Amino acid sequence: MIGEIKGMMERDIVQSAQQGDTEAFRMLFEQNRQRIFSLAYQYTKNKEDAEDILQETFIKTYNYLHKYKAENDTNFSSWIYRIGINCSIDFLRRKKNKKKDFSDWDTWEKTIPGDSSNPEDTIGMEQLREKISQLVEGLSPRQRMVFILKHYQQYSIKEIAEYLDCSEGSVKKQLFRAVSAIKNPLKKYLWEKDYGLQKI
Amino acid sequence: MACKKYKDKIVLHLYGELDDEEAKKLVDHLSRCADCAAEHAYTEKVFHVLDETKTATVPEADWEKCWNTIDVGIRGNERKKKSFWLSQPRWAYASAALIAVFVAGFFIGRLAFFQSPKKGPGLPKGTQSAMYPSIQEHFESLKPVLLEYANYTAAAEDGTITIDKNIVRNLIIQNILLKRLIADEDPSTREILEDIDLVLREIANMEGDDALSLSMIKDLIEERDILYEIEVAKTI
Repeated sequence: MIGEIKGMMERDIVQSAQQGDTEAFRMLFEQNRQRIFSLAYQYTKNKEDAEDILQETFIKTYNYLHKYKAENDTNFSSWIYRIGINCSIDFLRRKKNKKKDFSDWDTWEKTIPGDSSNPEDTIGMEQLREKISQLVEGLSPRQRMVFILKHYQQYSIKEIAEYLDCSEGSVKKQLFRAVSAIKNPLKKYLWEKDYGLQKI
Repeated sequence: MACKKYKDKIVLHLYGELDDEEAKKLVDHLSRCADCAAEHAYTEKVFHVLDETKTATVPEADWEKCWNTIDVGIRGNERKKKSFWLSQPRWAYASAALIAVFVAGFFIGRLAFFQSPKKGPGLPKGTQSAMYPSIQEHFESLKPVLLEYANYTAAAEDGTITIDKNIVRNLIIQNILLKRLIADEDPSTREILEDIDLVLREIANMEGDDALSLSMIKDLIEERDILYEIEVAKTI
């Protein structure tokens, strides 16, 4: 019932915004900003970039607001979230022109205290966090989005496929590749040192 | 071979994305296969590490600053729209309509009956947006060709792809034309067209249908996410 009322209110607000009411649009901004900013921040790991994506998302939303039809489309929050996802991917693509140099991975390996002959050495959590960030940054924009939506935002594969407008098979493939690209480079350290698992 | 199939499912299992039957099969296999069990354990550990190292909090955005930028952006667009339409006399609308009909006819004719790659007279400024239906159409005609290569597997029945090189050449010409017309108006679409150009040229220049060249083209399409880019370009 509450959901229904909320939906009706949202529809009214969207209709007012579609008629050019900036105050109504501001209400839509306030209702949806946190969700989009969180996604953009998790995606870029940078506050300024996430703010840029947020702004771009809402300006684009305003320009395409006349295309949104509550009866035919999904609810407004999902619609704008989808725009946010596309803006994030576009943003990263533009940024990716300055391609990330991954040669520092080798440097990092050398700076890890000790070597494999000393099994007691462990990687500091901070160092590990930084490395995982770099590995996530190394994913293609789309793989990265699939990974963030699945691992951190915990959407189902079906939902991700809807947001990205692609098949579930394609999402599974991207997710598998993303996880492999993260876990394989960590193997040497997590496998033998921290977790004492037997090597395959 | 069976292990490969199960290893692919480990990630989905850890995310709870396998149905009961698939999950049961995987668990059965893990109880019998030490390699897969170790891979499962390792992947689970990586997931724990990912959760442990997750940045705990999302910082607070400067909402007011963000809204002000958005406000300026949307008001700027409104003003642009209004000032343009209000400042034009009636004869300007009539002329614009005539020009639009002429330009649309010119491009539809050119794209539908494309015969010669000769350089045209060029578009007057401001008419590039009329190209978007043509771009969508271009993407639609590209899709079957790209899908053919993207889905290529050497192990398939005949292991080759037969595509008329003339079709590919026509697509290249169409692609070049659209790229030129879009110019700098829409950099992201231009970027997609450039990636497509690269793939089409590889296909056109390919000698024979050897598995290596076909795989290379497939990788190129995947690396540049071309099919996805086309889908994204279609949504907004």
